[in-house]
Amino acid sequence: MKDSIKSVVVLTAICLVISLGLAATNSVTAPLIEKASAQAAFAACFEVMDGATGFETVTVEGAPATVTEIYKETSGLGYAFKLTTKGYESGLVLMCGIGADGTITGTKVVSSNETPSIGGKVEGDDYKNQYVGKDSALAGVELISGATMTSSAYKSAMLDAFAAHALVSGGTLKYTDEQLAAAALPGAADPVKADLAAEALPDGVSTVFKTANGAGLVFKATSGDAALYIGMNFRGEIAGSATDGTELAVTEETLDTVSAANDTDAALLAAAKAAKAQFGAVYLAAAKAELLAVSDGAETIALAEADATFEPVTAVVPTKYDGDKNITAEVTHVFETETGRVYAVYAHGQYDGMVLFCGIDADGAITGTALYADNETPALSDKVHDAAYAEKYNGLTALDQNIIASGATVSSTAYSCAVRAALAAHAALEGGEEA
Amino acid sequence: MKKNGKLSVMLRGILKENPVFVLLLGTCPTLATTTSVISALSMGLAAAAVLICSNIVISALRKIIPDSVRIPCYIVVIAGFVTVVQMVLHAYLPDIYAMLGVYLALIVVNCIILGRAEMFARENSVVDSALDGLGMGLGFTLALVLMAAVREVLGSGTFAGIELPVIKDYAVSILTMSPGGFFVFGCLIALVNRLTGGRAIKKKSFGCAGCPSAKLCGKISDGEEGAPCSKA
Repeated sequence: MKDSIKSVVVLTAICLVISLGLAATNSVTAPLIEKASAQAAFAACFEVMDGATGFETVTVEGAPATVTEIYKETSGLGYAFKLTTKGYESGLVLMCGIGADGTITGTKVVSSNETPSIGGKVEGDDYKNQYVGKDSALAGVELISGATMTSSAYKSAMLDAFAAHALVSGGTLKYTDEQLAAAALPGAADPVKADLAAEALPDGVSTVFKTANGAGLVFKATSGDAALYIGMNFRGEIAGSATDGTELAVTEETLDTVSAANDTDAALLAAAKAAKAQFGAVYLAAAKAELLAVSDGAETIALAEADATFEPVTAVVPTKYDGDKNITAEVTHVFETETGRVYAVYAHGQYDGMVLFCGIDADGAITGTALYADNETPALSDKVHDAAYAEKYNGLTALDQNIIASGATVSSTAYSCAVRAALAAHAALEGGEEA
Repeated sequence: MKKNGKLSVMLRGILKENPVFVLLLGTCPTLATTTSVISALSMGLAAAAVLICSNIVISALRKIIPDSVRIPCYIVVIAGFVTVVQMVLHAYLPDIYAMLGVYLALIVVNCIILGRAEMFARENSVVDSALDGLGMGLGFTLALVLMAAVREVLGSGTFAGIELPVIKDYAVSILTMSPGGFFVFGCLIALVNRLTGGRAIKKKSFGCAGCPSAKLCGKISDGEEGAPCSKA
């Protein structure tokens, strides 16, 4: 007993003494390290702005959270922004120089914890130089495929730099449309304006955004200077909202109960309700080309009047590493063409958010199937995006067995479930009409 | 006589019991930091500093530390010194800190340091331990610098960053990579073996019972103790 007490005491004492020593050393060295790293950061400022003569730190209230330091170039050439964001790993520190004309003078990675061969590609000249000369629209900047998380974090950090620039050069914090649209729809990647005719938009909605990963659609409602961005998933449910110039917020649950504080809010709220009510029509307009592609050469398509809800189709797929995956698929929208119908199905495969279009003709045979959007692992979803795979369903009137794509069992089971849901919906509608 | 004893304690670490080429300890930093002379020198000196300091402290505390917790105690002491070296380098010599990178932190698990603590510092006086640390540290540094000199001059045609005119054109760049590193390492071990006449380390003799190859070796049959193994 005495021995073990002695062991504990000695070890603890040694630890305490060593800790004190380290604390003492740290108090001496930490300020020096801090200073050296600040110097290094200024060095990065010079690198992103050619011809700069000196920098001074400025502070401003209300800058985006990713902007950690703002440096003003002393001879009026512009500003440099130090941004800290998270790519694949946290700790991605970037420097962005914005010139007096509001375009980017240079960007640089100050430090990162990304995997060198993957996320580290953002440090390469090819990617960095895309940004030079761009204004806040960042038109034409391409993400690095295979390093999406890092490169899109980089891109949105640059947008934050523009927002801070607007703030510090005497304006107000101005987020771009795309930033607000992304904020309105959780999980959305790279929203872009959809090219829709004005008649297709609900009253009060000025723009609709599509996303690169099919998270859903974002509706921008405007009233005067205020804007409300409503993010909706492909089930037609409100997934989130973001605002500019108003405090109004809407969710799926509060849409009918929230009260408008003033006329502007009332107009925005009415637009939100209209967006939800007319989601199907906008969905049709946004995805018209893809919907027509799976029908049998039809040229016109319209939202069906049928107000039926359909039973979801479910399945369980055991996987090697992730345990059992529960697949569900349900038909969310029905569209009619002159040759038959197209069913939009929302499924949960590996991940939620698989949207499938299935065209069925008047005889009940499948005319075409296609994935509109999904969040599956890219390499696997390629297998079910493949035209050869989709063709296996053409002409079938019933699906007794799942059509599995080898290597993508879960995704292809979800695909088959979605087709089965479409067939079931078709049978239900046909049965109802006959009766 | 006493002075000779002290001197020999120190000199032993340089050739006869060189930690890198004879004891074969600390191979990881050896291969990693010897692509350039500057980084080898920095690594050697950093490890030597830690070795001397930890040897002194461990030797001073050798009567107090109970046997059962000696390894945790040694590790705490060594890690403490390595952290101090890290902080000091980061503050005063940031370029060298960046050059050594992760290998600076890995000095904590460098076998030379823990090995000397176990084998020497815990049984000898503070002065002797300090001298042993100094000798081993010097031996480590010299070994690293020697290997780096070969690899940098022949591998990239420079010495400590200074370009060498003729050799640069004929540089064998594989020497700066892992296979070349192992090759140079092997050659140097062979050279040191030759210089010490192959008798640097007394061969231990032990009975066949303790040998893992007892069953395969033809020297004994079941039940025999056997003569001390000459294959050691």
